[in-house]
Amino acid sequence: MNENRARHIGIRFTRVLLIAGVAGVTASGCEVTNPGPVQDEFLAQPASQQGLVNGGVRRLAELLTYGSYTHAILARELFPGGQTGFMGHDPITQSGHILPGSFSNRWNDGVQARFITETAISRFLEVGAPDNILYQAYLWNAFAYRTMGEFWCDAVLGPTDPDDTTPGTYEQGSSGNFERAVASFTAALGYASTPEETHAARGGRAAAHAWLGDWGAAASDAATIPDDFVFWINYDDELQPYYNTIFEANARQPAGSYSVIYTFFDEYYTATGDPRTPWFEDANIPYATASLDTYGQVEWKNQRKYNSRNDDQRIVSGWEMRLLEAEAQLNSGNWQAAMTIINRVRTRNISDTTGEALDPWVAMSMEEAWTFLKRERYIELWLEGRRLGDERRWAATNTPGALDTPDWESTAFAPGSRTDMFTRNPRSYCFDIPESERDRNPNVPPIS
Amino acid sequence: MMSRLSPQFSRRSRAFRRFGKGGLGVPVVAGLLLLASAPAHAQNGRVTGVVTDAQSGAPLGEVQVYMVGSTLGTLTRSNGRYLILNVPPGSYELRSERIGFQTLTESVDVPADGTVTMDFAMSTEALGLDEIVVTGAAGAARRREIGNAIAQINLADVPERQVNVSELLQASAPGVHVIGGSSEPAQGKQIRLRGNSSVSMSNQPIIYVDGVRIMDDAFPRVETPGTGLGRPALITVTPLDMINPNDIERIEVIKGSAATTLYGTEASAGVIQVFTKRGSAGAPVWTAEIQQGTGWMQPFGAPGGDFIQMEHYMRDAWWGGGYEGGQYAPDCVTDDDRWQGVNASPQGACSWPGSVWFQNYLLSVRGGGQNLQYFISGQYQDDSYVLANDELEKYNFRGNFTITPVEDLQIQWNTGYTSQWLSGTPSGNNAEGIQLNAFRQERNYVGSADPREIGKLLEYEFNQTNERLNSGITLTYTPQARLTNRFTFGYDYSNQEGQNQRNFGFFLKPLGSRTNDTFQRRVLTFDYVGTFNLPVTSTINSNFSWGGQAIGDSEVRLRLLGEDFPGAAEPTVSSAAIKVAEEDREKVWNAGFFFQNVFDISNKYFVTGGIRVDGNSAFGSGFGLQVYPKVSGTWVISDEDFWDPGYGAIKLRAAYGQSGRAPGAFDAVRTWEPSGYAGTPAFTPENLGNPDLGPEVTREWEVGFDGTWLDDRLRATFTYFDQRTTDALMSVSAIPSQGFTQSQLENVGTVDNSGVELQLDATLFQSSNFSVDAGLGIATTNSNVVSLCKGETEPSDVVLARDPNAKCIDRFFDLGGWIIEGQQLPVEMGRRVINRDEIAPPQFDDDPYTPAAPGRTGENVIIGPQLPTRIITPTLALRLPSNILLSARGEYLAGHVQYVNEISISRSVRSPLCFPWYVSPKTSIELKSETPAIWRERCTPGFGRDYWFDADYFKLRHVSLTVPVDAIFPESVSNATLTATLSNFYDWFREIPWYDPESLGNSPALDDGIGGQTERVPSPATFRMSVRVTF
Repeated sequence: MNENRARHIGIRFTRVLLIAGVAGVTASGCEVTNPGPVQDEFLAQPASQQGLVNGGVRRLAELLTYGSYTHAILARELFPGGQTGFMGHDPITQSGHILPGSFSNRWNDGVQARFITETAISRFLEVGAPDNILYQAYLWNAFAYRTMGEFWCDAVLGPTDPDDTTPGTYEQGSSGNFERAVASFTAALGYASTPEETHAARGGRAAAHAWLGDWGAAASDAATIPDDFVFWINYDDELQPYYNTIFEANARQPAGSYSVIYTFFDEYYTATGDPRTPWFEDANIPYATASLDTYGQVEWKNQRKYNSRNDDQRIVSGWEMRLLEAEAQLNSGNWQAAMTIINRVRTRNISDTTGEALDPWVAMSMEEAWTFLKRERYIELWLEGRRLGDERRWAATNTPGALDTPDWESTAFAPGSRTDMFTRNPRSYCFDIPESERDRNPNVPPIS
Repeated sequence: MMSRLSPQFSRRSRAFRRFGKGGLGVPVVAGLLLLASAPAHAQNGRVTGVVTDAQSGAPLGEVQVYMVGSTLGTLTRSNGRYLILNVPPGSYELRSERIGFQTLTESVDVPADGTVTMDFAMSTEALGLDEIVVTGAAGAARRREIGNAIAQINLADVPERQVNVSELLQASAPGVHVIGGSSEPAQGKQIRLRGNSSVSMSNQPIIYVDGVRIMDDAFPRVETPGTGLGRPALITVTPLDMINPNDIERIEVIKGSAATTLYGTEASAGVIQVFTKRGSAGAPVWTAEIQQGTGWMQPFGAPGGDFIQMEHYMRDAWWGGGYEGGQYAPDCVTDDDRWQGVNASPQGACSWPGSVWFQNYLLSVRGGGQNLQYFISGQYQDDSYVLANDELEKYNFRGNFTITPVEDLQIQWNTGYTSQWLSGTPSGNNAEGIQLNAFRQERNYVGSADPREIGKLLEYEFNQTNERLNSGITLTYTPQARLTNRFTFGYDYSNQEGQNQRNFGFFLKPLGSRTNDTFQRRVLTFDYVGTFNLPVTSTINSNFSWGGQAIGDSEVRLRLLGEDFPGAAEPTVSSAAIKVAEEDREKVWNAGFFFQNVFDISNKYFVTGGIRVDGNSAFGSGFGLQVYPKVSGTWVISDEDFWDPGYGAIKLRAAYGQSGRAPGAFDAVRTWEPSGYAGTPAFTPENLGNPDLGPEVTREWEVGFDGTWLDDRLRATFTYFDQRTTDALMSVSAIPSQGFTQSQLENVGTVDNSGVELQLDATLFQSSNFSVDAGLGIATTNSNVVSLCKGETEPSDVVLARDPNAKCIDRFFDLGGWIIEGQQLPVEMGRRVINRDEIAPPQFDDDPYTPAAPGRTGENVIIGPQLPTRIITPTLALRLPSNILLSARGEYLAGHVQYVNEISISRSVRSPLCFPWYVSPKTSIELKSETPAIWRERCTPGFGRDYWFDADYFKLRHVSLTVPVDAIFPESVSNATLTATLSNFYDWFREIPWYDPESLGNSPALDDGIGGQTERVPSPATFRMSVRVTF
């Protein structure tokens, strides 16, 4: 090839490549737009409003599905099987104790449920939104506060304006959470347009009133709600974060994390066949997976209240309202009236073993009536994440009557050697504010 | 009687197995011999001779001897002899070349039908001062100009046969630390150059192949979307290890910001550049190699639990039975039997467990004319590994072409393609992992200690395909002698498709599930460098360089999950009742330009000054322009007139430079995640955002020298480096109750890192038949978290991420350890027993950070650094008559601690760690009364126990024997060697009583810290034989 011609071709080739390179850089887009995450300013657009509310509900579902499971262990609604990792608990939680500063994930779910719905309320009020959307935002905000109040010993209450970055203040006890819950339930009622919407908000508010000791208001709200009303938090098999965790944790895929053995419901269901507390055994699966700290393998008996990852969990029900009415009567000294309500709740159920309606409880005193009220709430609200709060609430007000919570501290478990795991640490009744909040928020005291 | 646990371990074709135990070896060797025995032409002449080392007189093999300007050439045999056939009569320039030696050229006249003999005695290059290095320099530079340390690994000098690049780098140079090791196929490793210098960003160096940036971190672990399950095999493949080591000519490593400034934002963890072989003018030179290898597990458990009940799931020895994996051998001796004192069963002892079989077939050819040179290679690798389902099959192709269409333009086009398929065994810290369930015995997820029950987990299928294409075209245009322009365009494509499948009927998931995880990453490289050389005076020369680079990096990940199939048919995700999909996409551009000038004064003094300006799309529209300066100087003091040559040859050097690291694509902006909820759209808070975010900047200065003494028989390279990272990017937690619960990157704090690197090599004895060479590499690193405060703020305890007055953050967890002011980066914290050897209940160190809470006494004591602070790498090479070479390379790592507790003692699982202290290790966790305090602590179920061990250890990485076997081949075979390499055969641990400190967590090659170990099987000892023939 002629050298000049070759040189010419070479230079031209180089130019073409250089131009192609520059064009490539430009065309490939130094201006980068990454898909996926959504920026703040798009949240209030009408089409995004439902999604924002749903985000709050999702976080509440995550809090409730995992939190109810943990509370079931602490409330001795379930006996731990020893599983510590996937779908399990650390040995100290299994023993009934909540380590100070632990469970930051649950805290994050709760505060985000509150924060997202507050962001929704703030943005929607600013740009306008349909009543139904505002109803949902207030309602779920109220349930977030109510659940935080029931699950945590203390509260951190900050500005409800999501753009105000003032750190929240620490408040001992749960009253602040319930007061905000009441306020949001009340606001939701202002946007409710159907009876069901009204029942959900009133039912939620009734329980919050009860926590605040306002039994008149609690009974008044409860009385408006029919027996058969139920309001659920939606669990779904789409993603693990909002599976029904109590089901999943014992579904042997692969974990079998707990048992009903040694709980009140072990013998109670055998004796009564109460359809509200069913459980079963499987000859092929003698033990829960893993093994329990100092104890060994745990005989496996599985609850049957939840039978799939999709099974939703009640957060308001007409029968819960009846028991609130009964408790209001007890607080007013009307134990006979209370027992009438309690037995109405109870005897509607047909025994799985006899096919007959359950026998009513027979109380001879105020104290016995309290005992049956507590027992009936234990049964009616089994595995709904409510028991631990009930025990804390009753302890705070020194209510009479006995609890059916088993005394594992002094139980000699069979078979095998007795475990001392339940005596190492005191039993907890609520989550502690996590270390992540205590470390970052100057208003929250360090772990004491 | 043996019974098979699982009838189907692998779905891939077994076509290659039809060749039997010999694999492809026999046909390939036969083919090579045929090719090698091609007849010679008449009339033409021959050129022959011997090439020797001028210092020792020893023959030199693999020296390229060729006729300049022709296609005629060859390589010397191991006895130094060469023979060039079919040389047309005439006059030629005959040249001999080998890396590390001075090139020699002689004139020869070749007669018709005659033979010319020309011998060469080649001298080593003192300090290699005129060797060309590329990495970190603008364009290319002679080593004498470079003010920073640069490690160069020439593959021709590496005696052992490596199958991946990370092992090649292991213990190769001071300051290069390769981390990790396990029994899984293609399991990648992490690389640290001079330890950690960043808290929240990657500490992995960036990697180039022939000037083209490649994906430098590992492929993600195959994961199931929306659930914590489905992570069975835990294999993280690295692109670096997919390169065929036999395609590599050399690797250059620059370790700190003083050297990496011109790479700008992203380069402060160092740069590794791989240079693949190029074609050379001359007749085609073929190289064929066959490698066959095996391996076996050495005990990795405590006495009484040598293999921690894993014998049943490892492949048995192929020489013992010849069957493939998954065999359950109930009649042979198990751990438990050994513990009971039974050393042999009536049926005989277990086979040597965990044997593996490696096959590797390589073929390459290089050659070409004046205008076109080529190097083309191919590789086929077929390995079976320790665990029953572990297999790897790999294909590798490369074509490198050098085209010189005109004198002043050279086009270099290099392309490499790799495709590998691997099958894994469900493993690791995973409910459906073999190890976890075998280790925990009846207290496991299977609910049984029976190996036949645990073995059902082998039906969990894990398959993964990784593909990589790396192609780059470089134009070097030199319109005049003083002006050079180099333009590189590169495209790097990585693809991974992984499937985790539990078939319909799988015992822990009866309706089955299938995960399909697809990952793709594309890296585009645009790189221009111009250099103009200008003599300023007769003794001062100026070399001015300028250039610009743009790196575009985009990735896509699609994860699918299908659960609950209607029947036993071969499933797809589509056939499942429940389907979950996740999609992630991300693109980042990093671009910059630089100017640099090198003043060359009398070829003895060199002063370099440069500046790099960089921007990154992660900083939004402002592109976050950042300026990084560099300056360096060298002084070849031994070239001074006053220098007595008896003092040796010495180059002094010093360098200062800056480089940085950019945050992720979304870190600067506040975002919400469109996460969905039960089939409806939903947003949840994701990233708090920080519009003021900038890159963290690492500045480094280093001083050192390169020297040789005693006629090059003693060689040393010494470097002291001192790094400071300012505006360090740290993951700062927000106040959770304010809604954004994820941590946010902030420019907070200062981190220091300093150390020394010394490489000492000595020829202790040399003659024409024998030589003894010894080497010692020493590297120290001393990192220090100086401050966790913004700017110049004094450290304080205040921690307020969103408070505008907040300046400091508190200690926090990252890099798999704790980041604490005044401590190494990172340190491990935990409980420490102070009365370790007392026969008494354990007592603990006081906790300086957290008041004792119930059950947590003394839990936050600083135990020690996570990374080794001292690494010593001894080497030894013995050259025997006939050029037989015996070499060894070891590595001692010290100064760090490691957490070892694979067995969940907390839930009263019996752990082999504690076997010596159990009264009855087969049935109970009751401890002997004479158990010392430290072991009472470790072996009692509870929370937060003292499982920390002094992690000092030594490993003999390789012992290699290279034997020239030219003699058995015809003369047309220029070179043939037999190499036997024994790897990972001997180790020593200071305190860790069992296991292997190099076995890491669930994502060994991902840059998420190296802190703890989980339930894994460590690397086996391996033995590989290789025959390589060049003709």
